[in-house]
Amino acid sequence: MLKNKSILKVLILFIVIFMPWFNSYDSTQQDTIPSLNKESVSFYQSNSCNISLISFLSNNSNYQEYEYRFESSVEIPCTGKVQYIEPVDDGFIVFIGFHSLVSIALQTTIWLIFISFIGAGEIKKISPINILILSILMLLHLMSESTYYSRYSSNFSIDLNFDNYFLFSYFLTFLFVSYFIDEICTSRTTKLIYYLPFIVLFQGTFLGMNLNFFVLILMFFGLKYFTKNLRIFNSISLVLIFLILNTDKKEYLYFDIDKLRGFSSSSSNFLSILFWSLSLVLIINGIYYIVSETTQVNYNLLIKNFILSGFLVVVFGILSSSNILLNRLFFLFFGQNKVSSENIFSVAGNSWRGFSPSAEMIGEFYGLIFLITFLKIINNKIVLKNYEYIFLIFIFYGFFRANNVASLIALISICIYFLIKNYIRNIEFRILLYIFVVSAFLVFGYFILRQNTYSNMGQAIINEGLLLSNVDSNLLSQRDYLSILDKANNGSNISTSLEFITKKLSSQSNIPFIPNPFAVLSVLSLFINRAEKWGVFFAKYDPNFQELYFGYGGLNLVNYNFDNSIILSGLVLPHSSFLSLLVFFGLIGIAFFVFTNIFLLYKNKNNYLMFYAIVYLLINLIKSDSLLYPPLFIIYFSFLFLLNKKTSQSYE
Amino acid sequence: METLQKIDNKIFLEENLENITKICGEKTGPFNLSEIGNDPNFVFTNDPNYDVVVLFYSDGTKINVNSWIECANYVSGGWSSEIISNTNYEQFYFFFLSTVALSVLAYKNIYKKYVKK
Repeated sequence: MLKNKSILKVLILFIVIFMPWFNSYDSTQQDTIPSLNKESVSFYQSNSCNISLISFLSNNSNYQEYEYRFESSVEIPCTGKVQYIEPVDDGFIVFIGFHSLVSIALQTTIWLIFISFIGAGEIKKISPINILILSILMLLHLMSESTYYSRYSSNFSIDLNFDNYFLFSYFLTFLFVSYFIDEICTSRTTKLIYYLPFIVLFQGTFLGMNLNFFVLILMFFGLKYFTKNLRIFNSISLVLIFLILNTDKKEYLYFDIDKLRGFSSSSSNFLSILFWSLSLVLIINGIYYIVSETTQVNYNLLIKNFILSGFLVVVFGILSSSNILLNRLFFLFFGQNKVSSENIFSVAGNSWRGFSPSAEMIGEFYGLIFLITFLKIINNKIVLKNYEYIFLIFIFYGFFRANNVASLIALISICIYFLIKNYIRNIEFRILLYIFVVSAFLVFGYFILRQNTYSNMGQAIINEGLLLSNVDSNLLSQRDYLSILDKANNGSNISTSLEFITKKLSSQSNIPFIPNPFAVLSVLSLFINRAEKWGVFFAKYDPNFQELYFGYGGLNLVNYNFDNSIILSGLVLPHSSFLSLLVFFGLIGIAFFVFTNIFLLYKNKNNYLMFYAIVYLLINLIKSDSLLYPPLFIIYFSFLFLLNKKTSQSYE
Repeated sequence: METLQKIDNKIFLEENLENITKICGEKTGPFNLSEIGNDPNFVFTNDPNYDVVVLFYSDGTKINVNSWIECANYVSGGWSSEIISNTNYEQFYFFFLSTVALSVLAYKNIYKKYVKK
């Protein structure tokens, strides 16, 4: 019976993956379809949504030479067909129609089938109220980001009338998705934590939507247990959301969220801020619930799954970069928010992101795998199989190609610290070794930055920020910050945050021989190559008093990007997850986050595996935007709750 | 005369700005639509950071635009992001899903309660 069920699931999976591309396929019509060239392009353009992708491919053996893009703004029957072909200088762009309603159905089916292979535990009662609430929340999301959806969905309308089948269809689709999430995932909550690493492989972003499947699952669990767990966190969060919603903010219709799709607001208005802020609270509740449902955590299994996932991420990254069509199909089936690297060679900053939207994030993930595996091996609690060592070689390749030096240094530092702490019994010798390692790092840092003075390095961030702020270039070259601030109102665009740190840095009341905190921050930023990026951040971050304390709202980078007149091309991220938290929830939010982390780390310092993993992630979060991506966000908070779990592992 | 034309253009653009922003997104640079005017030889440069937008005209023709200014120019010329279609496929989809939902409910409530017993 079980075997038959598995065969049926594989069969459905097979059908769902291959069926769309045969939409309206007619083998007798193949001869009438010309191969694509400059002459025949008009044939394809005038036969929009008439030719299935399979027909196109079978008539174009050189399909690898074209660029492919999914187009969600089509009618439902156009799904899986060639919607349009655009000639460009070096070839053609083939637009493949894929309606977002169909993509929700298809992607959800695939991912839920994979989850259903996890052995089910105790069957729990369906909760219709939560299914309904989640579907209503999704409708709220559609309404709050209407500009985004009107670009990606044909016939988009948020008019509440009986003829608006678009809205009805989405509502019903989300009812179905929520129902199946409850039906399939709820009975497997005790085991879901072990499959956490695969969230880096199956990223879960719906095609043409600003929504993520795993976010939906966690929101669903969060709704179920919102009133039962984390009462202090929930109360503080709700008060903070109330305060955020009550501050006057500029509204924006559309912001291009690019690689943050599925986990960031694309517009700034009351509904979008409410939705995303509430989502974050529910997601954290959902993660807490999954961790608390797992009675005895088997860390060996978790680490083995991390190794397997890391290996698969590298392999799929290589496969994606070898074939353009596979690249795009993986984009759909794995729910990537950005297509994988299209070739195996490194591009910007000598880094290769492979399957991930960010080289920085994937570097941290690979480093995390090495760290937890190392800690477990050292403590003799895990025996790896031969093939797992081969997997680790692949992961090392991915880590090396991601070129995340900060992760590597953090990894090495923590491993050295762990070794010294556990294997050097003589305290004096241990202290001597610590001093030697710290001195080595300082000397190394000195040789990197020795060409500069402390004063210059201490002003690096504000200098970078002021460069963008349209200030008097003569005064800036003389580093006359006080005069720059005096003239600040004459057409310059100095943000409130940049003005504040410039004042603090050039203040006459600085205490002699005590380093200015902003100067220290600036020097540190040079060490980790963040002076320019954080300069841009402070140039753009222009909050008023209330926004500084309460933030712009959960996952809202719109106001941060648009509330100033500094225009930069592309998506400008803060390049620090702490700064992102400052943007989202202000000083109160970041204080709460830092306090909670310190408290949990101090309280659970004996849970060595999660303790060092959290420390490693926190070090990386200082300079990376990883918390802006669902995989690292979910892994981070899962680890934080695992750290606090009473049955977790401690030193032997 | 030229000044009057400029004022006309400005009023027209302001009226359309909301529609342009809705379809093409927020303006991301110092673009000036009036410079393009009706110049048939004007060449739009592709913006690699701009997501391609598909626009439709009332006669059913469509075009893909590759920059904000190109998109804004077409939208001011009456192009739209919505397909003019006679068939409401979402309606079919809705009824299809409703039928499936009702069938599942019927199976769960009637079959399991009565037939199985």
